[in-house]
Amino acid sequence: MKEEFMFIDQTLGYALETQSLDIAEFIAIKRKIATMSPVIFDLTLQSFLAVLRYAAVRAEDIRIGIQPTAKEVAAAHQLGCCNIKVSLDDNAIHEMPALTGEALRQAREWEMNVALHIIGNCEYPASKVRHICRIVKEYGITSIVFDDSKSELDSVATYWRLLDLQQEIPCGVEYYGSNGKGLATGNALGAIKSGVRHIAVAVGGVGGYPAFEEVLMSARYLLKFPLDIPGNMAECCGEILSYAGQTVNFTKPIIGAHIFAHESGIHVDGVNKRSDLYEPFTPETVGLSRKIIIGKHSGKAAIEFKIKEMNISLQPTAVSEVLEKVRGLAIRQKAPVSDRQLQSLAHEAAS
Amino acid sequence: MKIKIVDTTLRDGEQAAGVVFSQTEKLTIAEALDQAGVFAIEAGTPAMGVEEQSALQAIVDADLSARVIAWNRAVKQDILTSVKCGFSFIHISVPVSDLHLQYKLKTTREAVLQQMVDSIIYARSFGCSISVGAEDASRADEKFFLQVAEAAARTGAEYIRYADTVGRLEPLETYEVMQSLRKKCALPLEIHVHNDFGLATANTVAAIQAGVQMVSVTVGGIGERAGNATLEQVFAVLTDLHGHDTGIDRNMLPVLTKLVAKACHVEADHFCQR
Repeated sequence: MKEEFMFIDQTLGYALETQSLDIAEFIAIKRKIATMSPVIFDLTLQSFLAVLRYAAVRAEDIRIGIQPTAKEVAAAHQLGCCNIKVSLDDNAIHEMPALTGEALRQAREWEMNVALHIIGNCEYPASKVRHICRIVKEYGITSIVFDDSKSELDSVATYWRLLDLQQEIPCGVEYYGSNGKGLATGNALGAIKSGVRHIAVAVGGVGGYPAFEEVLMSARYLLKFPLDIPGNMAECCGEILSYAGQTVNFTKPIIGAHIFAHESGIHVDGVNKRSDLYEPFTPETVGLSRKIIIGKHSGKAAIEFKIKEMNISLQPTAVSEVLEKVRGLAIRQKAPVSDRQLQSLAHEAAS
Repeated sequence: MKIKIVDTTLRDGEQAAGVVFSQTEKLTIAEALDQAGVFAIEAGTPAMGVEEQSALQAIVDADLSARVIAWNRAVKQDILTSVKCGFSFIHISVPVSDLHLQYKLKTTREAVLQQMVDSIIYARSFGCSISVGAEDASRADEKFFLQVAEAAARTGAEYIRYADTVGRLEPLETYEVMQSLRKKCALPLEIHVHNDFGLATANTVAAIQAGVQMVSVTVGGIGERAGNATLEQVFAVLTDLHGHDTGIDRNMLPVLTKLVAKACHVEADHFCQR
């Protein structure tokens, strides 16, 4: 079980809270996210209730985030949801309010899977761990949510902290990171390396969570876990993000339209010889395509490659002449040289 | 710990496909980087042509406090061009992975080592200070990387760049590799990483935690493909999380971000969404 990944999706919840999705959109985005990898969807009780106003939705792959009250536990139960995430702060861990205990007892009676989302900080001193262990045993808690939403840890610290915590706590541990300092994906990998397999993610990193596509690809290609990567991932993420009211930045890792665009002389020469010289994975892996941009940083190999595509043949001296003109033109117009412009420069040099 | 920031916005950053900085933009960005307090500015590649040479000469002539570095292949003509531009800090890059040697340069380890040594000696003959760049180091045999560093140290290079050219490192691995390399390497290390898996900042930070003291970054993380490590993010982690001294003036960072975004024809928040 421990080796099996379960990503905890935050994209759908984000989309519900920020956009007015109709039921068809809700179903479409949910289905698309599920094609990425095995996933469970975190939704707040309010968001899920709002969806249910329009249609019946099965709750088996949905986890409802609730406050620790018997009323909210009962509401989740009535909706047919057996997965809940209960938020508790540090104080409640140390001295559990009677109402919270009642809520957790109720959830246990109904055999619900309960994740305890511990809000506060990433510090887990011995006394806190002791209290958590007691609560886990007493209420049959399924997992603890380790929350670094304030971006307090780096990747190495995340690894060590979670390695310790998993040894100390007699239930599963989930990782909820945040990209406040640009470390989200790295920290998620730290969590995975420590043994955590339940990772909160969001497509495109919306809401500040680790980007689903980055964590998935890194786990597959850098950590070498046998995960399936959907061949249309870039397009799929783009569609999911458009439901969430977002567009994909063109240099976004894994899914950006421009990440396989090469201009500099050395790189274009390299990828034409062998793509892995300057690409960590092929564009086809994620459903993107390679682009050769002609501009200020172009070298001879790129010019030769492009004019060959245009069925123009040039002497080596003429290629150098075209290259010099290309660089000058790119600098003057402060933009790449279009195919048409290159074609006319090449024809000039050929005549 | 004092961390030295080597900014390569004007070299690797401008190599992002489609980005072109004008001569004025290059100088303005260089001056702002200097004001921000970076240790070094990798300003460009003089061998690219006369327009670039003229832009680079203007930066050298600006008499900045930061080191101004020219990027070079291990080719004498390239180095001579840099020297003629007025550069006294010369970066010489050689690929070190067998993949790059075999399929890109179609050469051998011995040949590339000799080429590097010859280039360093040549650049040193003009009185230049030298740094060496080990391209594709993250896919290279560690022994060969150390051999390159050893030869570079013997010939008078100051430090060596460990380049994760295709962005295939992850943070825990970076930490382990750097901890081991740091003890064995004949030269101080500079970490230079790419963001293909969204890990550039995390990997840079992990290298620092392992004891590396020089980092290569770009403003907004611009660079080849998905870009490089982002100056703004690396600064925030090193300063706010780890309490390191980078010499960077925090107030200058938004100015730099806006300046570079404008020169790239994008909105400044384009960089924040990475």
